[in-house]
Amino acid sequence: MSFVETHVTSLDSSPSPVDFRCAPVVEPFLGAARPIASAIRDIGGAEAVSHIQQLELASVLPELERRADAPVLLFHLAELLGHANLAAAWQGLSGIPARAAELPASVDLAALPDATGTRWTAWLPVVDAARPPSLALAGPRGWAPLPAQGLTHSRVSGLLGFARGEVLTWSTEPSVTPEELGVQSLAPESWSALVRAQLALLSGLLVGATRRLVDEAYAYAKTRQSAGKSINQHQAVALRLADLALHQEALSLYLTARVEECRPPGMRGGPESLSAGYVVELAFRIARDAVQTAAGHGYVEGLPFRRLFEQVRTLTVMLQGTKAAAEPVSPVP
Amino acid sequence: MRIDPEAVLEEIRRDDPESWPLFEAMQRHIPPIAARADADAEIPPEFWPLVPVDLQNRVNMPPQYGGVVLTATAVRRAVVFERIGRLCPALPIGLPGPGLSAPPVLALGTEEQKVAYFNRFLGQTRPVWGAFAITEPQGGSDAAAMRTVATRDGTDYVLNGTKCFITSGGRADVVVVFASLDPNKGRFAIRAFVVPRDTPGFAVDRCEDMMGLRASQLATLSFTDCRLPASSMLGHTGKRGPHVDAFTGAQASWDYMRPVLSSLINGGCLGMVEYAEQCLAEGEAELPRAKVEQAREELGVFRARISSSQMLALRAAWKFDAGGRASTDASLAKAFASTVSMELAHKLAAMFPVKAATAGDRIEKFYRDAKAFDILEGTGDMQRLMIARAYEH
Repeated sequence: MSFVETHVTSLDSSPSPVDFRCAPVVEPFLGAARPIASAIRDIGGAEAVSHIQQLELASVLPELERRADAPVLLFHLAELLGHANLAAAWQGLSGIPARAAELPASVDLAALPDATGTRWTAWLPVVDAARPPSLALAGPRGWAPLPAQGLTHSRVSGLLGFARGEVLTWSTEPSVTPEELGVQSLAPESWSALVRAQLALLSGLLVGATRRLVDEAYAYAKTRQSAGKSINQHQAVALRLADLALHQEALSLYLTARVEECRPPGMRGGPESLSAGYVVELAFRIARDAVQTAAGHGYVEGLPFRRLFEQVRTLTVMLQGTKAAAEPVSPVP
Repeated sequence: MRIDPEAVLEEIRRDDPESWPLFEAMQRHIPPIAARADADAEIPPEFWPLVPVDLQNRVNMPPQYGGVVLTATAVRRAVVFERIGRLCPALPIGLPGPGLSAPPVLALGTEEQKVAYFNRFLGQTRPVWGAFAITEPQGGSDAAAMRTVATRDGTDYVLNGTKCFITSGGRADVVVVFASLDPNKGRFAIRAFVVPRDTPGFAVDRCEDMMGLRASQLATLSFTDCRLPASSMLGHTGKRGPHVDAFTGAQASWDYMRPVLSSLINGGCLGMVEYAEQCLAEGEAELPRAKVEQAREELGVFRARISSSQMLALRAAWKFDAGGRASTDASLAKAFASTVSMELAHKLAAMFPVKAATAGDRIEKFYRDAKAFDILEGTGDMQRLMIARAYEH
C-alpha cells in the first residue's frame, strides 16, 4: 500500500462552502515535514537537502497528481520548508515539478519557455560541479533532452540571493524544427502538471520566505531599543510592522487560493490564473519594509534580511517567467 | 481551503425562502435610488414600499430573537453584503435594523434585556433603526478618555455627555450608549445603556454634512440629565450591575461588523472595477488609445487585490462563526479593504478624470465614499496598531 493510500484522508463529502482550514489531504505530509522544517532551520545546504529528501516526495507526487492534489501539497510543503530555510527548500524541491509531469526519471529539471517559445530558462539553486543536473526543455507540445543541436546556450552565474545558483538559457532560431531538437511528445495534462507544480512550488517558497521576513522584522523590532524603549513601541515602526503582516496575509491567502483552486477537477482558475504583477508588488513591499525595519542591520550580511530580500527578488522573477510560460500563447517545442 | 460564495447564496436561498425576497428586493431597488440617497443624504421614501420592511428591520439580528436567516452567520452577512455592495457600498450602511447596536446587547445584556431590545424591531411596518454610540468629540478610540458619565441617583442613572459620528443617529429609535460610572477608573468603569429616542434629555444635535456615505446620517447626539432606570444598563440584573466593563461589548460590535463592512467595501470595489471595464469596452476611457490596454491590466491587478481582500473578510467571518478570536482578522480585513478602495478610487479618477469630477457619476461618488471607509468603525491607523500589537505575540 502506498503512502497516499495509507495516509491521505478523503475530502469531506458535504463540506462547508467557506472553510479556511488546510486541505485534509496535505495534513499527513505536513505533519511529517514539520520536524524536518525545524531541523533544517540552522544547518547548511547539503545536510538540509538530505533531510528534505527523506520526505520521498518524488514518489508521492505523481500519485497525487492524478487526484490534482499535487500542487496543493507542494505549495504547503514549500511554504513550511521555505520559511525554515529557503535555499535548502528550493534545492530540495526544485526537481519535483518534473516528477509531477512524469518526465523520465533521468531528467532532474525542466527548462520552461518564454512567451515566444524560442527561449528556455532553467533556474538552478545550486550547481554541483561534481554532479551537474540533467536538464530538458519543456513546452506545451513536447519535451526535448539536453544537450540538443541547433540551440544557443548561455549561463549566468551568481544568481541573486543564491551564492551557488545559476541561470541557464537556451534559444533557437524559428527555422529549427522540433524534429531537429529531438522533441518527444508530452501530453497536455503533463505540461499543465509541470507548470502548475512549478507555480505552486514558487508560490509556496515565496509565502514561506515572506513569512520569515515578517517574523524576523517583528523579532528585531521587539529587541532593538531606541529612545529608551523597543522600536516596536514607536508608532511609525508599529504601522510599518502592521503593513508587513497585512501584506503577508494578503499574499498568503491570494496564493493559497490560486493554488487550491486547481484541486477540484474542472474548477476555474488554478495557479496559472494568478496575477504575477500583484504577487510581485506584495512580495516587494514585504521585503522592502522588513529590511527597513532593521535599517542598517537589514542591509548588511549577518541577519537574514539582506539574503531574503535578494532571494525574494529572484523568486518573483522566476514566478513571472513561469506565469509567462503558462500563457496559452507559448508555442513550441 | 474552500471558498465558494455562490454555494453560500444557494444555501441561503434553499434554507431561507422567507428572507430571500428581501435580498432580491435590495438588489433590485437599491441601484435606482443610490444617487438620490447620496444627493439628499436620506433614503428616499419611495424605497420602503418596494422592500419587505419588516424583514429589513431584522437584518443582522440573531435568528433566536427574530432576525432573518439571511444574515444568521458572519459568513452569510459577508457574502450577502458583498453582493449588495457591488451595487452601492454606501447606502446599505444606512439601512434599518439594530446594526452595530446588536452585538453589545448580545454580549452584555441579560436574556430579558435581549428579548426586550430586539422586540423593538419585530412586526413593524415602518423602518426601525438602532444605533451604537461610543465616540465622543474629544476622543474616539481612547476608552479611558470617555467623558459621558452615568451618575447613580437612587435606582436610576443620570446620563450626561455628547456622542458624535453616530451612524443613523439622526433617525435611530434606540441607541446603545457607552458611558463611564467614574472617569477616574478608566475602561473598568464603562457601562452600556439602552436609551430610547423619546427619553427626556436625549437630543439629536445635528446630522453631519458628509463628503460621502451621505445616506448613513452620521449624527451628534447629546444627553442632558437623561434619567434611565437601572434596567437600561446592559447586564444589570435588577439587583446589581455587571462586574465587567462594557468595552468588551464594543469590541464584540467591531468583530461582528468589520467583516461585514469589509465585504461591503470589497463589493463596492468589484462593482467599480466592472463599471470601469465596461467604460473601457465602450470607448469611454479618457486615455490615449495606447494606454487603454495598460488600464485594463491595472484593473486586472485590482481584481487580484480585491481577491485578497475578499478572503481576509471571509476568513474573519469564518473565524467569528467558529467562535475563535476574530479581532485581529477583522482588523486585517478592514484595513486592507479600505486601503484597496482608496487606491482604486484614485486610480479610477486618473483613468476617467472627467467622470471623477462630474457630480452624480459613479466614479465621482466612489471617490468620496471610499475615503470614509478608512475612517469609520476604526481608522486605518487604529487597525494597524491593533494588528502590530497582535503579531508581537
